[in-house]
Amino acid sequence: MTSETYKRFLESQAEKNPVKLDRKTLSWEEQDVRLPPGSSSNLLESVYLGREPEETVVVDRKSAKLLQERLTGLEIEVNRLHRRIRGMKILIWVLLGITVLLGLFIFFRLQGAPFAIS
Amino acid sequence: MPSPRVKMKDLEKEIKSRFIGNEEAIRMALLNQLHRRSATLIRAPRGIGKSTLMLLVLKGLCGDDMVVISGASEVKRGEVVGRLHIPSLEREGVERVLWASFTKARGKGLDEVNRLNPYTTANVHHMMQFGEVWAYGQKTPVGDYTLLANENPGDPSTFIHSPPFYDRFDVSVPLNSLTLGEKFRLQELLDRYEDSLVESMPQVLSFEELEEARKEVLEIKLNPDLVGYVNLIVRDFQVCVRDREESEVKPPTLCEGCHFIRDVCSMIKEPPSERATVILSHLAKAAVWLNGGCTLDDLLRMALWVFSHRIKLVRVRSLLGDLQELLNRERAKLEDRNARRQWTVLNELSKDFNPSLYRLAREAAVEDVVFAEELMKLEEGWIGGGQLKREETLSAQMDWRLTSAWRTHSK
Repeated sequence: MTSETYKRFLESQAEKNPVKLDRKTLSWEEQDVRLPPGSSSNLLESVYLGREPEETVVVDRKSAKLLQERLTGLEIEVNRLHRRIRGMKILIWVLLGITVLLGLFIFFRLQGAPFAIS
Repeated sequence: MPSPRVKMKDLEKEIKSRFIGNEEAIRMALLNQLHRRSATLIRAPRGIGKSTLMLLVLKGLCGDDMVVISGASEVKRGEVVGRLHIPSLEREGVERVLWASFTKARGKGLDEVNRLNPYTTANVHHMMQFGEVWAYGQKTPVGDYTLLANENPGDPSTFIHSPPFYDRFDVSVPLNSLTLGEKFRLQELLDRYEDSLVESMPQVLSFEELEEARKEVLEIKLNPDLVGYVNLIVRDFQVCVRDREESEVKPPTLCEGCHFIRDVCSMIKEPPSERATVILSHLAKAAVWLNGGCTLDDLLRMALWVFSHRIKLVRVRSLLGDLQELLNRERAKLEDRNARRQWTVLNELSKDFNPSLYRLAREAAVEDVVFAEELMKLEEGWIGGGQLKREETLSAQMDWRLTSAWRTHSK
């Protein structure tokens, strides 16, 4: 049997440290939380881990540089993929042309047309 | 007429005007007087003022109604407890016991308690435990009293008393040597009182007023947060997933490969007894009565005096310094629990099982033994209610078993 004082202790702690409880998630607002100088808020977590960012985001030089490098990397990747897509498009058109020609050849051959290649 | 509370504050001022330095020790020694049958142990090297402080407190509270027994002299049981009345035995054939004045006096002092022989110590131990004394098959109650003892832990000519005997002392108050400035003040003080610091000490409050104060303190109800913190502090210093109290192997060997090797528990060889909880509660009530409140910082400061003679650490460089470091870690842990909303989560889970909350609680539990204990108790209920399978529980996955104490089974 649980002690009444223990229950009251838990209730009192719950009142002092409230949480928002949805069906699947639990959240709370941090009060009087001051970031140490030179540190970032949870922007990187939101970028890399998909977490919800805070209302106001603070970014330090190191994190900004990290994000800059990440963006540059992504731009290079995008350009590379663009070039590949262009090449693939040309390849698709060529293959499509060959398929059409091959289809026409088979069609006329079946119709008995003097369509000889010799 | 001033109230007992005002008189207690006057007593503190009076003692501080006669005893230089060690203000925290004086405050703690007086705070410990505010519950029935209080027992205070003063520890210091020789010549620091252990006996002086003991006598000042006893005189201030009991006046002449005090008896001091010196362990350094050859004290026999008859002088501490009682002796047989020979004429009654010879003339009437009846065994009558003449109870010693030590048992009757309200103020009891034990000077150099470490030198007290084991037989006398056993009698004092019995008195502190049951509030009565035994001799020649007869017993007599000793009623309410205040007991102060002192010892020099570095004294070579000493008996090694058992830990349960020391456990009967509510607090252990260490004294430090005086700084240069304090030495000057002491010399001035000795000149002013013409070397009769103790003899001239007045009785500031009567023992009846002290009893009234003790009654008022007893009636104080601590708020649930304070009660919770008292219990948490003691439990954090007691808990061990490998059942240290029962195990024949003690830390640090016992801790090899343990999940909590970096925790406070791994630094403690012998944990404090449950009496530490009782004493901390008494002191918290006394602080509320005397000062109007008691904070978490006050509790942690009191814990230093309550634990220092009840605990054995794995490695000791300076007992108080090492213990203070552990208490600082304890404070950080208490704050961390609040930041993680652990008790809020446990409160919600104690009302109803919620899988998301349970996952969060489990994450916290693998880093917090005391929290894990409470969660595992709830798990038992959920298994019974079909809300959780045994193989999904924290106890199953961490291989922890909770019975009367922690038990681990190696796979």
